[in-house]
Amino acid sequence: MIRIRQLRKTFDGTGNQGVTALENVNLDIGRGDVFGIIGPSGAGKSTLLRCINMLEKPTSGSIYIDGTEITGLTKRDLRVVRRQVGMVFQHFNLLSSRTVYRNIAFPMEISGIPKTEIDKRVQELLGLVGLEDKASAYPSQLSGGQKQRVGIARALATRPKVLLCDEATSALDPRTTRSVLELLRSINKQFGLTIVMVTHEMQVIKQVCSRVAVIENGGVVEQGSVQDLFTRPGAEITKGLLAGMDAAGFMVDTSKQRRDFEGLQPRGKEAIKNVG
Amino acid sequence: MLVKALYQTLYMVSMSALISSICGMPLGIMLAITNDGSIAQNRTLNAILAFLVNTTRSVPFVILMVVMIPFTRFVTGSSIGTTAAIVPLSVAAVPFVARVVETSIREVDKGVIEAAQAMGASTLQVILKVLIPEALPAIIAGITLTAVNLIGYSAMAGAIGGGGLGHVAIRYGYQGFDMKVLAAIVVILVVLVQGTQLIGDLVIKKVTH
Repeated sequence: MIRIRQLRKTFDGTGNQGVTALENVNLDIGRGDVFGIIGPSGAGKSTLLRCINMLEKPTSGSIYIDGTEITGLTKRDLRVVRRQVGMVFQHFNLLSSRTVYRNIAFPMEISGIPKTEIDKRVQELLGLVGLEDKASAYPSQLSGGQKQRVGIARALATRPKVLLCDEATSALDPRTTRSVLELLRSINKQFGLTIVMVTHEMQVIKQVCSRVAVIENGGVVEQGSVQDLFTRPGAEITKGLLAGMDAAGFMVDTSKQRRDFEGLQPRGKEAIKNVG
Repeated sequence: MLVKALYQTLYMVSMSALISSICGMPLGIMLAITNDGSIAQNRTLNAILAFLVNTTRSVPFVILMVVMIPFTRFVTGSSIGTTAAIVPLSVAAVPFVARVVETSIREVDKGVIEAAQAMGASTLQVILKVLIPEALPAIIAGITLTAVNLIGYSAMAGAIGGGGLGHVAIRYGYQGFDMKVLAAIVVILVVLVQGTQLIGDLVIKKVTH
């Protein structure tokens, strides 16, 4: 479904000093996979994801989506490809001036889909993400979890083949994270949608992903099935990421992850019950 | 006399606010989107527009009115009168509106713009469906500010033949020592400014979600 070859991305720094974000990245993501990309902060995982819909322009290398090479496309053709690739963001990125209904309608509106068809699809999606009663609410009136459900509904509106999730649950508390991941998994099962998910949380990988790539310093250090990774981690960084999980599968690392999890540590029966 | 002057002032201010908004909005949007890192980055165009805006803004209004006399005569057929005053008032307010709109547009969350691009939105669609609606409350606040400024400027225009409250204040208050008229005009102006702000705030509240 997605084939990435020798991908390289450098950012212009100040002066002549450029920063290499990605170097010789090769990935194969199969149709219907829930593919996780994990790594520490600054490893380049978000840059990699953003290359898949060309929000970042790769410096060199190639990316194929469904057989189409996308790195050399014209603006017009790129827009067509982008309509087949949905994206979900960490900070939701909903339009504050639009209601839930009109946020979900947005991608269809810009694709020129007729109003009656849009209405039908929005109702369908509102049902899918369980927000039928929030159609006329504005994003400011929603909780984080509800906003992300709108984000997911919006990303699915044009019936994409691929869904990219950029730290989609990192701004959510553990309980909401679980329900959003549950939703993504059911969408994957129901529609056979390919999902690529960037995260720094091993728990997320464990809960929904079928395959995973571990990224460090701009390169893929390991990739394979999630099961293999958990039972036979090869790279040091993978062992580190796994060691950062306690028995319940939650991060207890003292590194950067700590900050994200402050106050969100699992406590009591409820947390234990929901794992595994 | 005061009623007629009030009417003239309202006419000058509303017309020039309207004209400067219509001309200043596209200019402000162009300034914002041609900026470095924005959706239609273009350093040359940005520099040219910024130069034009800054030049107009750096001419004091009293001088601008005089400099503009030939142009005003060309547009309205006269350089004296309430209608003629609308020309320099609008020209003075355009760069102001442009800068206010530019700032409002630049405040729009980059993530939301990116989300629209990721969905395949064209530059024009981003402008019309994302930038303007998202920046609307700030744009209206800016236009309200412009209207309040224009009330002040219109008094100056009145002093050199534009009519309106400024004209009456100078003629009867300053030259004729009629303190009552002067006081009445100050009160009217205060009410006018408060009223403008109130209406602006109401509209902003309505478009903010």
